[in-house]
Amino acid sequence: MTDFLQQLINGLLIGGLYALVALGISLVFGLTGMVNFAHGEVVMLGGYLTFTLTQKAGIPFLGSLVAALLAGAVLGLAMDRSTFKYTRGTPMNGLVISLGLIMIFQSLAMTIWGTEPLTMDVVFPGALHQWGLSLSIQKAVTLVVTAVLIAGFGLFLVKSRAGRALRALAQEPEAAVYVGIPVERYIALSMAIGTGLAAAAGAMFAALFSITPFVGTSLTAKGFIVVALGGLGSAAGTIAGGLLLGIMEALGAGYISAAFTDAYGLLLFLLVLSFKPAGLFGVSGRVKL
Amino acid sequence: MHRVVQRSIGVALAALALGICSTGAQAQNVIKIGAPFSLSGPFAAFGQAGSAGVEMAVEELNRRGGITVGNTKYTVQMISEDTRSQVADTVSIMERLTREQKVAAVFGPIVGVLSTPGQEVTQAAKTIHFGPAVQWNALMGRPDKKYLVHTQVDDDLRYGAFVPMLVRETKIKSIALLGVNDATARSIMPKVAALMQKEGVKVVAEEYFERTTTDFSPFLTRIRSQKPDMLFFGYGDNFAVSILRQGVELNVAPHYSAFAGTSLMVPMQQALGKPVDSFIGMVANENLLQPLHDDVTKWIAAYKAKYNKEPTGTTDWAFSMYDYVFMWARAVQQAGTFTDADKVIEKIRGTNYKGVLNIKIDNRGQADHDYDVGIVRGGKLSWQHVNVIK
Repeated sequence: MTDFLQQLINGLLIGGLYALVALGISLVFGLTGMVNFAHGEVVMLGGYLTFTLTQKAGIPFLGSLVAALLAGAVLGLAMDRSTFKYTRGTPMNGLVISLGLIMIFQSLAMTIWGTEPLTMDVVFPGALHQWGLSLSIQKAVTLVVTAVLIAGFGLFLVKSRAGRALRALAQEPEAAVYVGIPVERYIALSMAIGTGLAAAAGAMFAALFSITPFVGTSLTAKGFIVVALGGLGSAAGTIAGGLLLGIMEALGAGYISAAFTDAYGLLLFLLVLSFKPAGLFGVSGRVKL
Repeated sequence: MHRVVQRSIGVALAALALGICSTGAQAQNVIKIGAPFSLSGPFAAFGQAGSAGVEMAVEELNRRGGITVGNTKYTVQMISEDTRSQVADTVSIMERLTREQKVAAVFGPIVGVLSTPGQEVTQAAKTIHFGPAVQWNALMGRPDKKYLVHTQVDDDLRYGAFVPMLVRETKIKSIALLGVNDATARSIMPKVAALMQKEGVKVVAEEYFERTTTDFSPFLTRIRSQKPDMLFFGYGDNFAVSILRQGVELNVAPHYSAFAGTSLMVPMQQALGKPVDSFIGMVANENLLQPLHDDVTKWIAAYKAKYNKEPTGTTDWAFSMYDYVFMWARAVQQAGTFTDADKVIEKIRGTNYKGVLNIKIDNRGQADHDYDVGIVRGGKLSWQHVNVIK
């Protein structure tokens, strides 16, 4: 039982990070129908930026995380204004551009940080040990920050004027235009929020694991699995999908074999889509944020 | 005006002819060697180290006057190619190097995933090919792999020396093995398991994880329940740092050890500040952190001067190429030819070479050489030089 609870904690931690990464993918897809494959590279860049700010500039980790979040948002905004803006209505063009951006961001990271894996010193040393369970302080902080970011995002969507506008735009784009919602401005905002969250996930990722210029690719893949699991364009589904994927991977690797960790996620994906083709929280033909 | 134009054309033609002649003469005095490495992509850290090893050796070789074959002096030209860490690219580069460039030898890639398909091309083309892939262990001595030179110590020899040392140093009674789910780890781990059992150590777990794994907690939790005295894992700093950190957090075992993939310098430094009874890391070649002899110190100085940067955890893979370029050059001189691969390979097999490494090549083309082991214990790092060559 203790091991099972430990595996649940392990799964929730990594699942929370998957959810943060996937929220941006879901948000942008919900509004534009575009699949941004370079999303994982923003996670990678967020990780590297946090590494540099914390390890080299001596800025406290949480400060570096906020800086990474803001930098990620600016990068997302820049990507949208410089390239994706011109692909509206032709999602395939956006997809191709995002593939090009992967190469650019990876080369940039290789040039600045090299190809060796970088690992941050432990920011919050120590661990909590209770009832046979172990949780490092770093992981506890990661769980709390992830929960705060997800809750903050949820509150923003439900309570704020901008959040309501985004939801309206995703659900009924034409009606949203009729009532005067500035579409382009809100798409840019969604891009900034999505990449900001991705960069924040990268910051926490870097504090826990090693980072390389190529770490974004597998995170993007996980992000897409999470989005499809939860239901395309559904924020609640994305969060549930992320946590479910994390727990499934932890239980599979913990009780069956570590050699097929990615396969457990795909199995879950197939199972869910067999019974609910639109995903856990998705509704066929509709996007709901 | 007409005469001026005629004269100009004449001068231009003469210059062109001279240029062609001089280029031809120059080309005659060049021996090309292929250097296909992952300069980009996921294996770039390994590839850049290997490429640096060849580049430094070629420059030094040419500085010393090149290679004398018969009465003719040749300079060596390194044909550098980027495999982009892709198998398809590697194979097509090998085709180009052997068929179009007609290189006298190929050095690299480092990673077996690339060099193993690559050697199919070089062996069919009868081109001498140097590489350190673990997968090559099984190829050495085969008649159709006559031109391969395996630049890493045979696993039986390497682990035959390392495992008894681990047991002697830590007095462990049980061990858990954890490796990447690839041919390299799946080749090494069963050998380690067998050697451990021979030493009377119980193997309580043998686990493999996907290369993309970043969170090791789920299966470390399972391994913890087996209560091993030691967690032995591999390979590479990217895995080792995370496994060590997460293993210590979960209190998986008192002793930790890792086998070579990268130099393990980073995890060794990190282990210094961790509550572990010991962390013992095997370096693939020579440790660049605290060099144990002058040749390595000089090599590090030359590396820093050339690339204007410190060596990293992966730089020691340069040694799986560096000395071998000189070894090949010596064989070419002794054979009196660089085009007859049969004669050159005969001068490589069954010989010794003392460079930065102390290398012995057996009659199959398999290298043996000494290597370093780092031991972190009681907050201190010490080194042992393991003598494979008696």
